[in-house]
Amino acid sequence: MAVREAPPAGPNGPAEPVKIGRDRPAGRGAEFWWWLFMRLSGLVLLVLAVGHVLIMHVIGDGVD
Amino acid sequence: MSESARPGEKMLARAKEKARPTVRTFGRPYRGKEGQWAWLAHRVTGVAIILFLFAHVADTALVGWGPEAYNKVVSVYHNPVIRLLELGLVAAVIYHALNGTRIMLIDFFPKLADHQRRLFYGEMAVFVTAMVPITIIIGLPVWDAWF
Repeated sequence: MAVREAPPAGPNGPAEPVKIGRDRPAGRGAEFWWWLFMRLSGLVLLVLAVGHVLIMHVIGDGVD
Repeated sequence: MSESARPGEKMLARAKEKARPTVRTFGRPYRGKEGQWAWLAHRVTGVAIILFLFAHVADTALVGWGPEAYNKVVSVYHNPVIRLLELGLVAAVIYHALNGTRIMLIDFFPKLADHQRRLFYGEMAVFVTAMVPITIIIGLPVWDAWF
């Protein structure tokens, strides 16, 4: 999600706020928890993938 | 709504409505700019990574056929061309990780949308900084093999 403050009003009246990406699902329904799961699992995968490469190929000449 | 408009008045009103700045004029800071390319690259690298992941599961599973089979297949990864592809893979993973982090930051802290361009260029700076030594480390054996 991400709603930015509205840009300054143009000659034809106020513009709408700027939006980027996907809205955070309102409330605490299933949609919200899946939204959260997608982001947190992404964070977990990041640590796992980078850790995997470091352990296999970098730290102590890696595993052979 | 009820007053019957003169012919053309409705069209005029509609044209005026269209001329008002809306999401079209202000609302899509990504369109055609950095964010759009970041979006595209995120998907391309995502597909590339999942394709490698299938191959990687297959080559790792070969351990089940004994060390010779595994070593034989994994030796493919020492081929210089494959090493260059590996460099691309590392670049894809690092880009995907950094860009995903940028997206998560904006998702969890919506006010950062104000700085999405700066975030993108910061991401690019980290990416290039990481890729310089990685390119040297992975690229040196390729250089030695070819030059």
